[in-house]
Amino acid sequence: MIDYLASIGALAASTAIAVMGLCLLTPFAGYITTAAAAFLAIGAYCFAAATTKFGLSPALAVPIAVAFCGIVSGLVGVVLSRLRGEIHLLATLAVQLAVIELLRRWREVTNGDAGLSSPRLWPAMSNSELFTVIAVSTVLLAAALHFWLRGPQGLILRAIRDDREVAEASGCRVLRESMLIATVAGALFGLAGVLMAMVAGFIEPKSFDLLYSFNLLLMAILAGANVVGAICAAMLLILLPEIVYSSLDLGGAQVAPMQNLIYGLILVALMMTRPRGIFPELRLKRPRRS
Amino acid sequence: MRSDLSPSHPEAEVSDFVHFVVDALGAAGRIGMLAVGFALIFRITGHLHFAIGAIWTFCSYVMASLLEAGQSAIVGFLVALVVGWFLAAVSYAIYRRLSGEFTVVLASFGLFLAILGGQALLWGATAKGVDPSRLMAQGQLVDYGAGRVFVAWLDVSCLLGLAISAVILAWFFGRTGAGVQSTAVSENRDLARSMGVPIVRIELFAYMIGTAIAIASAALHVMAVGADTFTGPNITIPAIVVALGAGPVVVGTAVIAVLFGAMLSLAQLALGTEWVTIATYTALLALIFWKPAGLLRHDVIFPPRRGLRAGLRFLKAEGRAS
Repeated sequence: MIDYLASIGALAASTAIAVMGLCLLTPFAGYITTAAAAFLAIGAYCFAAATTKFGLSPALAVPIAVAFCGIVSGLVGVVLSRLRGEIHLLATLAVQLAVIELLRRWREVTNGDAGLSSPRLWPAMSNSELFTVIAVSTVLLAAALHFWLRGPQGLILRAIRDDREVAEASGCRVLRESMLIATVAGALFGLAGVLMAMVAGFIEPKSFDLLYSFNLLLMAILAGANVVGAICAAMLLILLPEIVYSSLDLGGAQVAPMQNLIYGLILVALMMTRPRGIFPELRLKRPRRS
Repeated sequence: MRSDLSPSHPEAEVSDFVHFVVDALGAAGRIGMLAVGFALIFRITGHLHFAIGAIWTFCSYVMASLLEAGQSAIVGFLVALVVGWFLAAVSYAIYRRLSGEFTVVLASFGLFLAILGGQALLWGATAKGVDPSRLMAQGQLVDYGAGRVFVAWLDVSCLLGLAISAVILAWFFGRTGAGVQSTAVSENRDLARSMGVPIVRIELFAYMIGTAIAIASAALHVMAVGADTFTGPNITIPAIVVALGAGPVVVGTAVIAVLFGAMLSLAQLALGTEWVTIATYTALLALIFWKPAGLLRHDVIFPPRRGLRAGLRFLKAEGRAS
């Protein structure tokens, strides 16, 4: 039982890291993206391929996967930052679908639909140890992001989100800031992907499909521009279905459809009532008087 | 479908070309009808109604279930149409209440998830076959002189449906008062409202007609191969590519669908079937960067009758003067 709870907790904590990354892009900076699952997949596959195909140690493969995912995300972010509104959203949709198709077809490295096995940090690492490592990482990252976004960076992101032209006219370098935020978000996605691969022990392209991307987007919208909200939203939407399924005693085939139905209805309800999320927006630090 | 003859053989070249044309038209028909429905809604209301792919899937299961229960195809189609209209009306009622950037498209993602979840709960995730005796014949081998090519009835009927809906919409937008009102709503909503155009009625009409065209393609799909969970979501993205590529011309969507089908078949010939999907998404990205507002302008596909006549008179007068 404790082993099961530890694995669910580890999954929720690693999802919280991904949601923090998506919160940076969506509620904070105003770039709505449906490609989060694709970057999680890049991080997870980079880690799994580096360890199982190229024989690197897991401790070395983790920073490589995180850095690679951050760089790819930063480059994609720069290219897509010139697009606005729904066109930007459609472009991220195309990136999501193209990346997952590429992972399915590039069988030499990814094993295609057969998937790849993924090791943990050390061979005998238990679920409880993994949960501890992931939970500590999540709390440290959340604290770092909270203080970073309460300062000038948070103000810059809000300026870009609220009115890009005004932000640019006020001297904010929108392109540079977009690249920075996409790189940080990509690194968080990469780390979350690596941790999810460790929790599951096996990855396949199907695990990172478009529906999963929508689920992450729902968590980010639920959280709003609030780092603590990101953790709460991930915990809520990972743990709540587990409780519901165990209490309703649903069959295995009904779990995913029920989850899609509930998540879809929550997203519609959120858009109708609280489109900026249920958690209050992070308050900026008051500037010192000079 | 590719020929077994050596590529240097002249008959092989003819055969490859014929297969290429048939594949292109088939892909155009399948994607085009959903694209026309999507484009009609998008251009008139401005709603990126992503959930239309999920409605397509849901209605195909409704029709397949009715066929399985012994009902006729007409009854199956009509019930699927009513269900589709109900889902479209619910979607429109939700979108109308929303305000703020991105809320409509995010709500449409939510509806997409919820409708697909509901479909999987009701019918499961497996494909639903139809009694083979009730299916349309799968297709026919057609002799064209230099060889034979397989023509699927699904492709032929979708292509016919695409052509018929394009012609009817061309007539509607160019020649009827309601069509002019719809164009006015799509071009300047506030001005149209101030001129007394009934916005809600026009938008609801766009939803009904767009959904009906999409469900007609779902019905043809069911009649040819049955219902499945993957076709609807899979053709939604190409349909969005086509609808965006067409620009503000609903009729141009049919033309772009044929061009897009040709591009997909060309990609299939050059890269193989496995890489076609990636080619689709790359095409979407390229299109977004190159022409975010679409490839066609209004006068390219469907010149207004009066404008054309005035232009011809002007040209004749110029010719006489010179």
